[in-house]
Amino acid sequence: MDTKKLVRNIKACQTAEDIFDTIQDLDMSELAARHFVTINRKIEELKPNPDVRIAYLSNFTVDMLPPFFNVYAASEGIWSNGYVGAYNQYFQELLSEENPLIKYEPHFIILFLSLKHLDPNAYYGIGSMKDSKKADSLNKIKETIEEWIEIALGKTFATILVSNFIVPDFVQKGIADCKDSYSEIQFYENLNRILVEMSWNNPRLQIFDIKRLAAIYGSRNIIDSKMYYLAKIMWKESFNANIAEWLLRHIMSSSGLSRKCLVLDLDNTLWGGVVGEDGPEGIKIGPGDPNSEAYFDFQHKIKALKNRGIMLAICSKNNYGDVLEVFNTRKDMPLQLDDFTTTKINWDSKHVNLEQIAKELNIGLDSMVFIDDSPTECALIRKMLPEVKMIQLPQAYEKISEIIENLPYFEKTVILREDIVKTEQYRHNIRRSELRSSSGNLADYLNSLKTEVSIWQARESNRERIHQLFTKTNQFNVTTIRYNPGDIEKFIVEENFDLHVISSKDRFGDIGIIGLVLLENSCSNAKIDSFILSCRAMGRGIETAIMNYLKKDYFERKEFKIIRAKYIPTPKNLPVKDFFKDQGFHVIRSESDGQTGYELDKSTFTYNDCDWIKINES
Amino acid sequence: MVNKLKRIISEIIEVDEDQIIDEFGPSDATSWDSMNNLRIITALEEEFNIQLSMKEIETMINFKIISKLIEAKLSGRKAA
Repeated sequence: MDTKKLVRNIKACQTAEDIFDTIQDLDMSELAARHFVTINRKIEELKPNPDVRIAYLSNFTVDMLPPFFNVYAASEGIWSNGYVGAYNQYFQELLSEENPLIKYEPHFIILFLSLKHLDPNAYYGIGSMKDSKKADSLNKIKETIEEWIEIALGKTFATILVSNFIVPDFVQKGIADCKDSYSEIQFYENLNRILVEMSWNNPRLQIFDIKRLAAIYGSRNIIDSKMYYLAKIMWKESFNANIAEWLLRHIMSSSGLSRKCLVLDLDNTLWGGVVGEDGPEGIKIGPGDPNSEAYFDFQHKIKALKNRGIMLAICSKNNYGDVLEVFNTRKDMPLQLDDFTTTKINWDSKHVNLEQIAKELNIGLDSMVFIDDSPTECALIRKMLPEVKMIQLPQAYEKISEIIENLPYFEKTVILREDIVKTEQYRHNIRRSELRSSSGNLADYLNSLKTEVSIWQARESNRERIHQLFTKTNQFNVTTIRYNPGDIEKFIVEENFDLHVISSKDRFGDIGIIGLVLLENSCSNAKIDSFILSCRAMGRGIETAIMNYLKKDYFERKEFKIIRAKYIPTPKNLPVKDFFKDQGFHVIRSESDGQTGYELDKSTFTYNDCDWIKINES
Repeated sequence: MVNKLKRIISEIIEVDEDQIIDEFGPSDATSWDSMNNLRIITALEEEFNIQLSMKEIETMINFKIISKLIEAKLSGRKAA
């Protein structure tokens, strides 16, 4: 990489978009530490509106980290801004009267702790401690961290990330530590385990696995004693890039920016060789030779993504029959046809097929990643569909499976039941639309589905799915306000909010929690703040059934007088532009930016016909 | 080497390369603060593939000394 030119280009940037254009396709691993600083300075100079504010707190010096993160985020089109807490004042930062941290209103707070500073007695003295003393120490550390977390959760609405602990290279008892009844290594493992358990019951708390990063990059490569003695910096400057990349995974997944679908080419991508020439038995996949094993590992990793809830699709120029024969005969492949939500195997242009896939799955092109080995196809897609993240498979086949772990786009903060069965649910959806085209009459089709909808007030156990719906739903989302877990907690607890959660099932199966409605009540008025329906539940009147339920609940049971609502347009929520009008609401206010205020009056409302859906209240 | 060194320092502390004369040091630019000094050390170690000891870092008070230090390290490596 010509870094001189890069620095010149960065300095010439006039707008935030210029920065994005300059860095979006850079190989970050080739940048020197100082280039992150140069790019970050430009970001600070141009001050794009930050999409995300992050507070960094620590008991050692972490001032070097934010520029790295800001640049990584910018390369994905996310503008971030950092607040670095005063050295070792992670409690004071939350408790001080002046509250600069609280006023900063961070979306995320990340806490890095070094045991050396947190509990020097344990750090230096562990080699001569009795087991019971070690347990006491551990307990004390646990209480300190727990207290901090509680304050951080209580004082802010931020998502809290707590970094775990890196095991020191020097272990006091040396190789004998492995035989110890309560070893030094065990002490760190227990401590890290305690953090994991703390995170279980709190969706707003995530563990930042720096221990694993240290293992991946090698602790000897990341620790720099010089930087520590000079400035209490724990890591080499270059390790900040690895931390930033990992942190970006947390931030993207928590902010609903993870991608939903991985599309794959077939020949020389999913397997080695060309099926049209080599035949189903001739393609390279499976144990045996190095080339086949590389593709075998690649497929296994892709299968793991599917199990996380990432949808898989095929987009390949091939004869459909040849491919079908591969899947029919090669049962030894980790990926089988039913692992894919949809397939486009034909001779059409790939950008046409990718657009088709997006349409079929009801997702945006910016929710897709496409992997292909052909440089020409890659160049074409980058040009035609810049929203799709295009990944070109490396030529060296031993490197292909590394592609998967290096993609930051497919992270989830937690894997839910809805994720695991997602492929199946979407395949059911495609079968539903097949049924729809065969039954011809829409009413017959809707009746034949035997849809049932359940509505209830949000419970604690629904919090994570609620957060997913708020952050990930783009189309059927009337206001697209991205609430964080802190807000959701408030909606569940506070009296003046009603948060309804909706699930659905039909003759093809249970589609789980597919929507929510958030209302804010004052006196005898209710205001619909959010009305969200997952795209897998669209197109069969579920929204009308929910609205009928709300009408009945608020007007007939609770005797409210007015329900207000608002539509805020986004590039993606066009499908709900006229939703409130269709449900009988009157426009009371239209603004130039397309925002529209609606009202429904108890004295004039009617129900919309929706008798093909059965509603269960609980 | 001298030009590369100037470029690196100028990039990090955002001072024109012309301004970096022999006597130029941390006391001549507010941007040459302790964080940027650490960044300079990291950059020199990476770009010239050398290691700077704490004792050597303590002596780095102006451009001339830094450049002599690196020159000595590089020629020492060549000799060996």
